Amino acid sequence: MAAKFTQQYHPMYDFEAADDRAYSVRHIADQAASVNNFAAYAGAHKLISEIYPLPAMCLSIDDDTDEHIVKMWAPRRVAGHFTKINFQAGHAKTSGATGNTTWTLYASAQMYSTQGIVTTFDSAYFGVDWASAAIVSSSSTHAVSVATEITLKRRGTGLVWFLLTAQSASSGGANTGRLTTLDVTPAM
Amino acid sequence: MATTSVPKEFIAIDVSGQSRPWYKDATGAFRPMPAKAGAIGMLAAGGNYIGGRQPRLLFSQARTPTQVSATGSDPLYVFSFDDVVENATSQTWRILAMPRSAGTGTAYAGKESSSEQTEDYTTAAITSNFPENVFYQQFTVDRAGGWTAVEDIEQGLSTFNGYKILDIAIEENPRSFMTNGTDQVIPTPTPGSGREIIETDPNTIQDVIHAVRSTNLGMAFWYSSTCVSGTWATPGSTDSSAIVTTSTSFVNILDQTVSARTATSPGITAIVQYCGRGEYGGGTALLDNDGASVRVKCRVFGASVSDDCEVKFIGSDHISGNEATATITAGGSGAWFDADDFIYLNSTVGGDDATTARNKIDIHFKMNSAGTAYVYALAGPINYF
Repeated sequence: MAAKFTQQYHPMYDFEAADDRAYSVRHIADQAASVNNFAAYAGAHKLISEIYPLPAMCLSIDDDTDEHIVKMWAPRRVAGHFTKINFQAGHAKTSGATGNTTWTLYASAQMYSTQGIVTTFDSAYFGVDWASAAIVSSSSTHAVSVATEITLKRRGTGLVWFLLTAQSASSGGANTGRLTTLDVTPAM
Repeated sequence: MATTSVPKEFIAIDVSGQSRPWYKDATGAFRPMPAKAGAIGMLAAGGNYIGGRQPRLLFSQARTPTQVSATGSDPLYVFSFDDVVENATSQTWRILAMPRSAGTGTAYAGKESSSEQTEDYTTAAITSNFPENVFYQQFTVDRAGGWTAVEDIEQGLSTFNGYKILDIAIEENPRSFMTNGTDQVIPTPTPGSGREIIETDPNTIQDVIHAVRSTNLGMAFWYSSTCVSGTWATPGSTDSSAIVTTSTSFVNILDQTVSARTATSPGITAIVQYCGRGEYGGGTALLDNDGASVRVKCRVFGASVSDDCEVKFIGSDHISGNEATATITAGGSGAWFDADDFIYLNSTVGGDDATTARNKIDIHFKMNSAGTAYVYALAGPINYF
């Protein structure tokens, strides 16, 4: 019996060992699957869940063509067996914008140094352990996108730091974008 | 009292070497073979890990530097969750903050109506820059008075004297040791080599797995507006102090030009594949053991003027009529209201599903007649059934 993760949980009944309902291999397999399933899926509690109601609370950027930090979070504790981060967002670029807007979520097991990071994002300030994934707003029609999974560069349980950058492909007044939602979840 | 240590890291349980269903005897016949004690040890370690090392994140709220409250408020944010996890004895409140730009005296952030708070911040107000001036603080909040399962906990975060908070994240703390007989734990020693498996071994393991799997469930969504000087504001339009509507037809709270749930309409996404209970039932009927669903309780904190406001939560489309409505009754200055039903996410689809079946919760609201409603906070704990 290889480790099973995708068998969903179902309650098991009491049983008596050494009786006609022996502690069977089936029971052991069910319990192992339940533990594995929880560790991998049901226990993958959300790390960030945000909404940005329009108009004033939307997370919008200007037409800055430099990649710059728009949001930072306090660190989240992420269990060691979660090696990946899922990043989903609702987003759009402004009607009339000629350039796309790129939203990039960075994750690092090391607290970044903010010294020197003013407007232009510089990944060097993460040291060597950062990883990232991006979502591109290429249409003024609202979209809900899933970024490529971020593979964490670390070993073992610990705090993970997140920050979000934005970058417009073109300058000019209309070249802006906005987020409506942002959700971050760990994964194996 | 005896304690049991909890493994620091999770190792996927593979009992194939410890538990084989049949063996061939000398005559060539296949006979059933019992499990080895080693399988029990593996299950105990895994069960204790998920009970002690996978605590929940209960609430977070981040603001950009231009949205953050510069003065502070008591409370600043409100939130709600179910406090039903027996092993979660304390929380860490993690805070990312900026130097204050207003206020005098001792600035700090803390749990509302509590002495649990950050260390004092006494530096005078300055003009600070984002992001190079951010700093991190944390403090611990204990579950006072032992454990009692309480649903719909309602709490707040407060800031004082200009404490400028960029993000708050409230996490339950992991456990390195758990107390036998008190916590949901599989006590050691588990059966070693040569020891027979007695009835209490598998039943204890089963009890712990079930307790963890039915209580230690995360949040599908959460949100809080910014309270202003301890008073829930009534702005004329949406800002950080409220999501406002005067519409008398249902509109999306994130974009009030949207009135339908589609695959791409604004809504909160969730990844819950394989997080249901039971075998996949298929079909659209919601069965008690239908593994296609994850149940979510929906709550809203708000106020309404002149008439009631209905807040409708719309879940995945694998179940017809997968909606729940909370009614913010007219009058008052802000209170929690429960939806009249649960909504269900679809545990048969992956996080990359891009159809209307995707796990996305759209939230709509409307006034029942002329008036104005204010949504200040939302909470959506995942709930076992």
